[in-house]
Amino acid sequence: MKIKALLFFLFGWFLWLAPSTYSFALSGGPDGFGYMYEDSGLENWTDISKSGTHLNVVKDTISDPVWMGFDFEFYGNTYSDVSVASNGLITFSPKSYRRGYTSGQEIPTPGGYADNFIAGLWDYLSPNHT
Amino acid sequence: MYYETRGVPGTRQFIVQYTNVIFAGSDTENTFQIILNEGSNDIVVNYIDVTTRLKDGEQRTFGGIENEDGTIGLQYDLLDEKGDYQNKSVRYFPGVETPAPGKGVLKVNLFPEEAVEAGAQWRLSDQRWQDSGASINDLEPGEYTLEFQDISGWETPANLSVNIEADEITTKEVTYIRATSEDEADGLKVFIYPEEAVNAGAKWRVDEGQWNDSGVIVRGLSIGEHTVSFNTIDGWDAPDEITVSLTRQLPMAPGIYTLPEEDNLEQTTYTPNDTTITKNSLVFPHVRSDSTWETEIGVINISDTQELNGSFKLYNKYGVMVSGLDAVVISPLGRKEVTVGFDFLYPYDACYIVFEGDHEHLAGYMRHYADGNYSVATPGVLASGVSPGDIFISHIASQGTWQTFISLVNINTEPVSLNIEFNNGTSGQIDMDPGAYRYFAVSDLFDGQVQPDITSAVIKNVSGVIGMELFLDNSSKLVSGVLIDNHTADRLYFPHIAFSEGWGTGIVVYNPSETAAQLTVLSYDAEGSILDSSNITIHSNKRYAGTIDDLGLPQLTEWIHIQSTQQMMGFELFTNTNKMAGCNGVNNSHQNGIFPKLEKNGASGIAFVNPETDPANVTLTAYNNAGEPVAEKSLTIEPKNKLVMFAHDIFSQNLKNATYIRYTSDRQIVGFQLNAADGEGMLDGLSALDISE
Repeated sequence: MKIKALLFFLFGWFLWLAPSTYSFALSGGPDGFGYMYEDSGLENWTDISKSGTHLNVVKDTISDPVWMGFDFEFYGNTYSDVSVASNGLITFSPKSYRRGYTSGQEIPTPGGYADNFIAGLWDYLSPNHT
Repeated sequence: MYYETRGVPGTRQFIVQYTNVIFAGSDTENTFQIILNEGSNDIVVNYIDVTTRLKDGEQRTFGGIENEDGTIGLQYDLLDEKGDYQNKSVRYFPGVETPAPGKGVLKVNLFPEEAVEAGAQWRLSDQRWQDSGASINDLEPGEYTLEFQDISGWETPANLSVNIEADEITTKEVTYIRATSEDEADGLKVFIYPEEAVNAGAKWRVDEGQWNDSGVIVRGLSIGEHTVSFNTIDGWDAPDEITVSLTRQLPMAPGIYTLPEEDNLEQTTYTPNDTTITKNSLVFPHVRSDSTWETEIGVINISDTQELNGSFKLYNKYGVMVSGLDAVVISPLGRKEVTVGFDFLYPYDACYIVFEGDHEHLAGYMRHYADGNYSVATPGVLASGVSPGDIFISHIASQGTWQTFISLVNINTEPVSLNIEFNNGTSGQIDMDPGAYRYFAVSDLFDGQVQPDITSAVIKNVSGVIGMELFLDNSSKLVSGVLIDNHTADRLYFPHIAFSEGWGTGIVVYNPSETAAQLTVLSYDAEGSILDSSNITIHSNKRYAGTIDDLGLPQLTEWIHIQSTQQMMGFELFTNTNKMAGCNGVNNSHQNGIFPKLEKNGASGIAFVNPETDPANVTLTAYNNAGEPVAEKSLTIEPKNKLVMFAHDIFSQNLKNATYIRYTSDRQIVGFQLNAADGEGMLDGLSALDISE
């Protein structure tokens, strides 16, 4: 009995500590504008690390606006350029304030570090590792 | 990081790919894509191989979307947890649910936003009212009538007939029109820039009416010309009065109505007029925040009874304030650290920074660094401590791969004309407006040519100019710097001599006087024994400089005392492969001092020398940023002894929350610190800051 309890403790502890691998679908929204999200298995993955244009964005900074080649509507506005930040987000309204290009923040946050963005993995990332 | 536009017109994709990026302080590689889809305007984030983190319960990773003013957004909740995400996609889309088989969906968007905020709603005949953006699902195919809510000040759109078809989503966009009279303009909206002026109370008004905040729309104005004026606020020059001509733009077609913001939009900029630097100001005369360099600044309230209230002000090279941080409150013995690029607006424009306090019991430091390669720390300069006279550039290296850069700030309210006299007899003149900043390499004064025979300089008869010099060797990735000032002494202490395991130490002693100086150089070991004593002469405006080997000092030398017949300047530099640090050699013995930074991404070393003939009883206290003591230790340093320790080894308590160390001693002792951060070249040194009253 004691051994069972110990095993439970050890494995329970291990499972609690180990990073989870998520496999179930999740959906959310709508937000105040009507946007929703839904996750799934990987769709339309095309590696562009060979064919794409390399962006030399150093840590904690953001690129100059990049022309997308078409108009894109986002929250009711239309954009043709987007700036790419080192910390995993792209934005249509880059700020000169660099705090937004470091660690992330709850979404949405009025008056926050960044606005008008799409965050893929908003955190303190180091792109120079590539 | 890569980007690419793929596909054919109508269904193109814009892809941004982050390949093998890592979190700070981690080796785990992450690859993901953000894809924007033409036509559908859907956004897809592909997580190819990602591990998010949750560090100390605070650091989190976020995914999601947010609108242009941050008021609306959608957070992808799963990223808010630590976990692995492999081969997963998240699609963000303007949401309308899929109709059930044989049924239809109706979605209605109302405009403009002001009307929505005023209560605009829609409904199908006699059903419940719906908000803008809402949809009704599972409608039977057929004709329906849309009705709209009456709201005060707006013309209610006429009822609208809509045809719902099976398996289709029907979207209607309907615009409310503001009710106006024939001779009434649509409105006037004035934005005031910059944001700092707005925060300082900048307002505008039309035709001497009531004062309005930036961005407010004033309505009820007649078509024609109107006068816009701006209030007076401390520290800023208000814009001149302007005349605007208002029009009324009638809608060209029903349902299309926009506020005439673009036609009647005025953008106005306040300009700061305050470059006066008060005596309680701590000046940091060189700031860089760009793609290579970053600047960190720390200010410590050395009063143990008074709060320190103040503000950080960032100035450009013309002395115009570009941004700042108001209402900074530092508790007694508290500390405030800022990083220019992270904590201020317009960091790229900043050339120097002033912390303006409400009392003079403050001290601080600045640290310039380029991640992994360079780090250099120097003290901030208290404006009240700047005295008139000659100031000295005691070491100039302008040969080979070495360059010396000089930054100067004129804190006077009047222009100054500076005469720089170099040791080789050449000279130059620099004119500076009030508040202006100049930064140049010595070679810049000579058409870009390095000047091997220039080793020092003096700026004659100057008052109210603060500067620093940086020595930089790009090939060896070495950097250090010292303040340019008039601090001299006849006793100089060099508290750290290192020459083992690849280390070398160089010292510089400069005689700025008109008379030759006779110097006695005493070398000591760590236990206070004299290893060597020698006498040398340094002629007027000459210097004694070189490595310990060059100067013929004993190999076991741990510290040096130089006694001079004249007032001298001096500092020392330690170098190893790709790293360099230094500290001051004059006025560096105090009874009360602080080591203003404890390195969190590496380690801090502390050294003391007791140059006196009696034991020194020293109490060290480590504080956090709130001014609360975290750890304390008392120790005794024997006469002429040297003590070197890691900060975390001094105290029995944990220093996790400590940010700086203060010491008090019953003897004048010399203290300095070395900070080593992650990265090959991230080493800097700083003499203990004097806080004796």
